[in-house]
Amino acid sequence: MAYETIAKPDAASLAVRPNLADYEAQRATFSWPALAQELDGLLRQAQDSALRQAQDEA
Amino acid sequence: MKTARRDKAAILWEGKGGERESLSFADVARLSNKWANCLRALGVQKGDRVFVFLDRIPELYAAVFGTLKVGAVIGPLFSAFGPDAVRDRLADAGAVLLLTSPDLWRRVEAARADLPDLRHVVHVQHGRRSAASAGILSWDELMDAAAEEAEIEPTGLEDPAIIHYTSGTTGKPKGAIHVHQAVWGHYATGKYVLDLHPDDVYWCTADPGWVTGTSYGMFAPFTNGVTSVIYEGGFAAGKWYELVQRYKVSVWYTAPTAIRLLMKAGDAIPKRYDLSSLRYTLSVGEPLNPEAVVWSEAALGLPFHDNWWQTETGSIMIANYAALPVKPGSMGRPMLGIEAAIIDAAGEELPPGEEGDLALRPGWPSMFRTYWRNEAMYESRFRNGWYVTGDRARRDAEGYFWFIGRVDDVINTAGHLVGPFEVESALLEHPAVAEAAVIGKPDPVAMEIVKAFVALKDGHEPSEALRRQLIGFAREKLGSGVAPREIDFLPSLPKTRSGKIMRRLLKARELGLPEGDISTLEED
Repeated sequence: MAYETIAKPDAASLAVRPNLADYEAQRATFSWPALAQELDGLLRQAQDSALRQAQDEA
Repeated sequence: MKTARRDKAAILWEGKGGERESLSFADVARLSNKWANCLRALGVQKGDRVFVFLDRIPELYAAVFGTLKVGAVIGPLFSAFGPDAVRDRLADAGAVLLLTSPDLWRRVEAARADLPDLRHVVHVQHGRRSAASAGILSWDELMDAAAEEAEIEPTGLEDPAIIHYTSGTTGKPKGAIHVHQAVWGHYATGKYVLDLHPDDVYWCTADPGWVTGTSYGMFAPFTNGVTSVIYEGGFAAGKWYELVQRYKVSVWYTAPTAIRLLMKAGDAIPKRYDLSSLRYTLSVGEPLNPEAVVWSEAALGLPFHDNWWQTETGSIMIANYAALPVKPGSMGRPMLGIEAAIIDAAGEELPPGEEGDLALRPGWPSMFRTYWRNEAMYESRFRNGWYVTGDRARRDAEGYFWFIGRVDDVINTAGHLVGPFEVESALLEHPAVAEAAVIGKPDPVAMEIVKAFVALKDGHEPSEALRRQLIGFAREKLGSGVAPREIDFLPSLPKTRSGKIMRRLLKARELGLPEGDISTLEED
């Protein structure tokens, strides 16, 4: 049987705005190197994940 | 770094017996530092393979991160594995150290004689000290002597980090190697597919013995700085709803098998709990039947968002997203940075609407880099510049992908290729059916006929009348060329421990063939 597509409200109206609010636009501009910059250039997963949270401003 | 994050809860842990603990990100950093120092003291070096064989206790999470800090390769094992499954994996990987509990060790210790590379076995128990004994080291004694600061081993993007053994749906399990760059994919998909936000409380129900439990039970929430619920126990519908209520879970990532069991448990149970904290629900493991998507929207107020990936891909490749319409039964659309296509036998891309092999353009960060000591098998997975996933699918005009079946599972009946998923989904729409699996049974006329195995919901009993009714029901929905010609009733269907229905096992049993590798078979 065919199921109806489940529509979504406009992203701007949601209580939590989705990180991927505009699929086409964000897909067009996405790059892995740019994404990596968000990880502050950290390349190791576990230690960097934990340290990222654990180190304070000092 | 923000002081607030240092003290923020990384893990809200609940044990089998109801014990509750909270570990901050700083706690995990400190414990993993200490474990890294323990490993160094034991001579573990960059590139060595270290395995963890534990229930979902906090020490497991600290050990995974600590192992990566010394540049060793971590191999998580599912705690329900039996001795053969553990031995095969440790032997194949040449593991040098195993962290486990005394109870689990008793199950597999006979295998130690077959593991010449295994230099150390360390015991840990949550909530009480473990003792050293002949040939066994104590986690507590090692950790007592370890400093809280650790030097992190320099690693490059391409250095191996994780070894995950695939479920072995064909042949022996193979060790898929992932590298440190994989964290890019874990972080990105945590952000864009799981839609993690700093204030979320996130629950991934998968065990770290499976790739979902590490990629999305550890790395995605940690890199996104999100609090995770970890529950040591197994499935029980009421308990799971209770956990969502207690911890105010906002993002819930689970599996089709669990969702079908929630459906089976009925709509009345979720109404007893306050599930208003939930804002986003997702599913992975095998294709999610459209009925489950529709059910969840009615029963929970939210549709489960299916997504697709594999052990080999390391992170989510195709998904339904928070802001995009959901087509029930669809895998969704490719993740940012992922090129997916349907290709033919020559590796040429097929247009929308045509069925073919689901393929991915290599180069994404979390892609596996090889099968451990099996480069030939790795090379066999590529065609004309594409990574061929082994799944059959089609893409519609709007770019949504639709799963048809594993290449090995697709049924050729009277010249028609039939995807098991479509038939199983139709059967699941019948009110008596809890689970369904479909195989191709050899037939002298049609080459194969469609045969279904069905487990019934509580309150329904197998009968010839019901069998005929189900065949008629499926024919109405699918047509006689696609509907099952035969249906057998089973109390439950055989599944892997990660929840995938083992169609190949049903087929082997049906045809009286060897059952092959059943190390991942879930026992009732």
